[in-house]
Amino acid sequence: MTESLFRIASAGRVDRTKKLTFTFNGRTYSGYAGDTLASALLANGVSIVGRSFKYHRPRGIMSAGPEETNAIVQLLGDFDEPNVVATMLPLFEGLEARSVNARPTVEFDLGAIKNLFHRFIPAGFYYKTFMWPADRWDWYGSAIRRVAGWGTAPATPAGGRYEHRYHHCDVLIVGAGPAGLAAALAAGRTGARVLLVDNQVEPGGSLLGTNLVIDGTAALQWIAGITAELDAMPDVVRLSEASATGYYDQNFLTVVENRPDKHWVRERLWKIRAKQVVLATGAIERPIAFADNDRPGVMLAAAASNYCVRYGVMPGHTAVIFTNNNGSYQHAIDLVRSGVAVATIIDLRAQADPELSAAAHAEGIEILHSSHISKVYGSRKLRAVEVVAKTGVAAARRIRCDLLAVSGGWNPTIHLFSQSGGKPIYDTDIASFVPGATVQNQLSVGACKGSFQLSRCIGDGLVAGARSAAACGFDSDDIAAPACTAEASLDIIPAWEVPLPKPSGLAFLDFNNDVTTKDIRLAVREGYRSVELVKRYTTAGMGIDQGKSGNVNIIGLLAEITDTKPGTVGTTTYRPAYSPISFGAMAGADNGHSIIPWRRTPITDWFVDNGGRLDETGALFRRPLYIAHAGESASDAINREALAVRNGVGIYDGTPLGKISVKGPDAVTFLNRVYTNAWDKLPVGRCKFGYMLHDDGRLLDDGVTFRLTDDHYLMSTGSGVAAVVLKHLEKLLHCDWPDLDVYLTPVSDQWAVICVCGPLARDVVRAAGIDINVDPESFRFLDTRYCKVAGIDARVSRVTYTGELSFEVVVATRHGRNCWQALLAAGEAFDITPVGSDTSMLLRTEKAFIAAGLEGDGHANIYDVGMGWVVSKNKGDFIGKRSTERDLSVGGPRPEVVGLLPDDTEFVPPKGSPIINTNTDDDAQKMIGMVTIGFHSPNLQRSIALAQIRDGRSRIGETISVFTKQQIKTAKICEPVFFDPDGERMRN
Amino acid sequence: MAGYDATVKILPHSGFLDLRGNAVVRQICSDVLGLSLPAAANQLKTATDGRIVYCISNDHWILQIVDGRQNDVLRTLEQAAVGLSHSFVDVSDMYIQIRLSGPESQEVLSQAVSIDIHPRVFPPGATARAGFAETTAQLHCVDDAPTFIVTVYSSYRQYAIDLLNTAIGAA
Amino acid sequence: MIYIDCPHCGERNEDEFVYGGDVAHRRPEDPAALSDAQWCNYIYTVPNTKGWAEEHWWHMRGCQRWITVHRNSVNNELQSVLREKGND
Repeated sequence: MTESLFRIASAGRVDRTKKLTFTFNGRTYSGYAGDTLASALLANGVSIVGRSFKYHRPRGIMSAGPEETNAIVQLLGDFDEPNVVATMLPLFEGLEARSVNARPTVEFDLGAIKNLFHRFIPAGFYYKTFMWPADRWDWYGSAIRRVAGWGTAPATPAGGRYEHRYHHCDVLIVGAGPAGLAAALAAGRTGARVLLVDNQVEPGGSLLGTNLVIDGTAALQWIAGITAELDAMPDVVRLSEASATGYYDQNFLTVVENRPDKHWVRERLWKIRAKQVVLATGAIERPIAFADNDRPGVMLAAAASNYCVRYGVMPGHTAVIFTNNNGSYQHAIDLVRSGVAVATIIDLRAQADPELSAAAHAEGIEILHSSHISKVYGSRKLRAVEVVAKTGVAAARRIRCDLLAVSGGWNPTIHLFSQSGGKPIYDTDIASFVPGATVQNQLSVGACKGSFQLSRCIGDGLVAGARSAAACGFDSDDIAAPACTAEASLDIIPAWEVPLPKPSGLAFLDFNNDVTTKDIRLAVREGYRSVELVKRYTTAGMGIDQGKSGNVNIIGLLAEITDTKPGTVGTTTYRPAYSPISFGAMAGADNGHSIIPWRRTPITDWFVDNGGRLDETGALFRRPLYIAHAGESASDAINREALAVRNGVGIYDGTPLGKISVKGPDAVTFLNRVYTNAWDKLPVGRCKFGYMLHDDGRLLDDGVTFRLTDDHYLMSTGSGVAAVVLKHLEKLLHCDWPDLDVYLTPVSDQWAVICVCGPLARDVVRAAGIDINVDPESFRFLDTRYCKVAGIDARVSRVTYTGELSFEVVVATRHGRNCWQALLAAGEAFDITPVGSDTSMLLRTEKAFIAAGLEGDGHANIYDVGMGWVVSKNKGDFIGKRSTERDLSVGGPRPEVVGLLPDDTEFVPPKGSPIINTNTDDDAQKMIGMVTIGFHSPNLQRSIALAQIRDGRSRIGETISVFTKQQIKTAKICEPVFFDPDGERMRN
Repeated sequence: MAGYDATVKILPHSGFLDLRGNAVVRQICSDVLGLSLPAAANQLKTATDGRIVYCISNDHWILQIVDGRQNDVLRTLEQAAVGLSHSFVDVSDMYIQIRLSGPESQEVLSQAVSIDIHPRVFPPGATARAGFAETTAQLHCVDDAPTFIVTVYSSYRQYAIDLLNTAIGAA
Repeated sequence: MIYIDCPHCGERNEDEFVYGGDVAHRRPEDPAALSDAQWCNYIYTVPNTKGWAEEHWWHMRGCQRWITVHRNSVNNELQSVLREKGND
């Protein structure tokens, strides 16, 4: 086979024995193991890899790292995923990808027509456009989304497994370049628990793309030696393709690891708590803004030499270098030695390091000082550049080339440092921002601190690793720093932009968001000077880029325009995530049955097996709404169950109710203070209903509390609020009444609660076998007794949630299912009917038993819901008393709970419907309340509802209107209790 | 072959007593039980007859009883603590126990538990009550297989099993 | 995800805890003695301190005890956790 014209014979770290086939934008290509998708595309001479975000300009590969803003692809096939950065994606056999932002193809993009209209999409376009008229928003939204999209959400579940893992370590090192490796070695040798994460396929960082020498041998050998030593240490964990995406409080960091050690895991999200953090995140080269600096063929200088040295790929055959610093000279020399013809170095500076200049001349490279690029020729593929002298005396010169390697200097990667709470400061030596004072247990070393020379990176890394380990109590001998290739200093002059040849030219600062120098000037003209506002107005630094490549140039330019210094302008706030995170990584393995816990009672399985329609609306206990017979509709099932409870007997699983043991000599004092009613006279073996308020006088919870012994009570709470009530009560004991001798113990899961309810309930309990006398005179309403039911130890109480004669049978959870079966069997002769929570809600509505969250909402006080009888007048302070009294003393109209009888007896008022008084012309008086719940009652053979109505009790007898989306219906206000108002049935 | 090298097993039912009280009550309980209640959280004591007492906080312990005699023990303790401020509650049905064991069980448990369970800080004999995915668990490392006993609220039994099996990743 | 040093359980992630308000926001000893305005001020004007403050936190997924945490709301810096009356 013949090698591509762009592949360098035998150079690079790709494995030429492993050829891989892949598809990009519908065409099939080949590359090697060790390639990234980007290097393989360059090797195949693919110049256009995407279209820009706003203007759909053709774009080529710009970088060789995570800062890439042009080569963003959609992976297809089994690994369907949008917004994958091609420069970070290792090539694999069968890889299929396409550009994310091109319609219909990158070669011919209809959206590029906008190139002609770009003046209509200036900075602030979105703000200006979405002002008015409002009815155009939908149109703008869909039109803009069509042209400005990034990728497509996959239609099918992601292949492979995503998972989360918590991890703790002594020293976390981010970045396995020279500084990070040195830090890991020094920390690892102490015996500390070390985690080293790096976002590349192999360790080495920038060294992978250079020919530097350490200790007399190639740097790659030094890397291999350290890596082998680290991998042999039992308490050092080293991750590749692992990007640290977020740095949070107290050294909590998130790392997304691609293709981890387990082949069946696709991505693993690490949640790491580190005692010490060493940031060795390196630096990112930045471009310079000149006209059409985004053309395919324009690339960062270090990336160009990196492709040659690391991947054996020439990004072009004839190169021109454009720079403002010494660093690019070595890159130019590396390009020449890789076989790229380097015509010229265009240097903005008047002079360069003499040794580097001599070396470049020796390779036959021409150097033009005090000059800059003025024009770029070739819109789809670079053909030539035009260079002019800064002073403008010499004539412009045209140089043919297919690669323009640009360096505007280096930006330390301070994203994580900044996320940790640290403030960056401007360093004029490197014309960029470096970390200021650290605020967490963290050190920055190497290029991310602005130290670009290899010897310093390694030396500082060794010190930081040892110091971090020592801070965790691990010490060892110092490690001598190795000798390294000497490097000239950067000697940079700041250059954010160069003059445009004509005013209409576009010079890009943020390639990702198509932000140009003109956008920044426009924003300043329109009054935006703060960098945070300019960012939002122009969208610079947003999206995938997150300020990696464009940020410092924007800050520098903003400083120039506003006549201040970059350090005064300051940076925008860096926020997580540093690089894109897939939804799969965020979700982890928690999906399906485990995403929300499903708490089971011992009866749950019975419902699943017997037609129970489970409530899956977010409650942890998925109670059955009703238990349908074969072929039965929901309303038929609910009607059947409700009739059975009123006329025969029903059975209900009350296990989800919360239960809290309240024990101690001061238990009764405590109950008096947390409930509205008085508990002093409740004898052992009795229970009563309690109403618990917040201190603002609104309902917190209600339920029945049992007195088990002299100093021991059992409180029941709503099923969803057991922990909330416990928290509330524990806080009162801890903060407000530490003198009270009371212990609270949550016991919800200890007990199964089975309610037998209906006129025949007593017969069923007797048939099941109960060893106490349950005659009405012996076992009265609100009595509670220890006994045996069907041979099982139980506590049986006469409490009701339906208003019927009821026996609440409480047994240990592990006997719950047996007890349920025994009661069902005993009830067979009485046609016992299992009842769901929808039916229970209907039955309580007939009785106007108040429900927390419906009638008892954030407005209603205890009198509003008709529960004034539960307020004791004869005791001291209780929680909510002061607010309740204030409501009474202030007076005024109150939202009172009343009943509604719709004139159309088939009309069921929907929950939340507004209630309107149509008898007034005063608009402010029209809306008088809302429906809290409505049902069709089979027992009353008509529709009923409960409602909150302003001064509702004084309106009883009036007719009002209920508004729904479809209709307006009249209803009569009535007393809320629709059924058995005197409560004779439950006391029977 | 997909999946971590670890297995999950539900353990037989045990009795549990929830004990609350001050240092005097702690001493009395220790004397009655012949098993000294630890003074601080994250500690446990094991008796030769299989009883284990976990300290939840400085006035709170969970006593595990494996021979089914929790009612007798509760009565004995109540008699000994008469007149002292305390709360002893039978919570035998509040908890179920799952045994997670195998060379990669730390990797499995680390998917649900945010505390440090590295053998350096959580060796055999270590215990802690901590968040376990969306609920709470008492964790106990019992050997260096490693094996972890995960004690969760009984209504979370199936959730905990499903969660651990998902974490293991076995098909 | 702040890391709270529970005096009982040791350092734990924030998601094991529930925030319970500013320690300085104490319930009045005798609510009946307050005017309506004073009472409403207690109920509705909740401290939102910038900088260091003492806070109640409930260790829901651990010892289930209320603890006191010193936290700087500007940068989430935490200081040693005090033991309160009845806590030691």
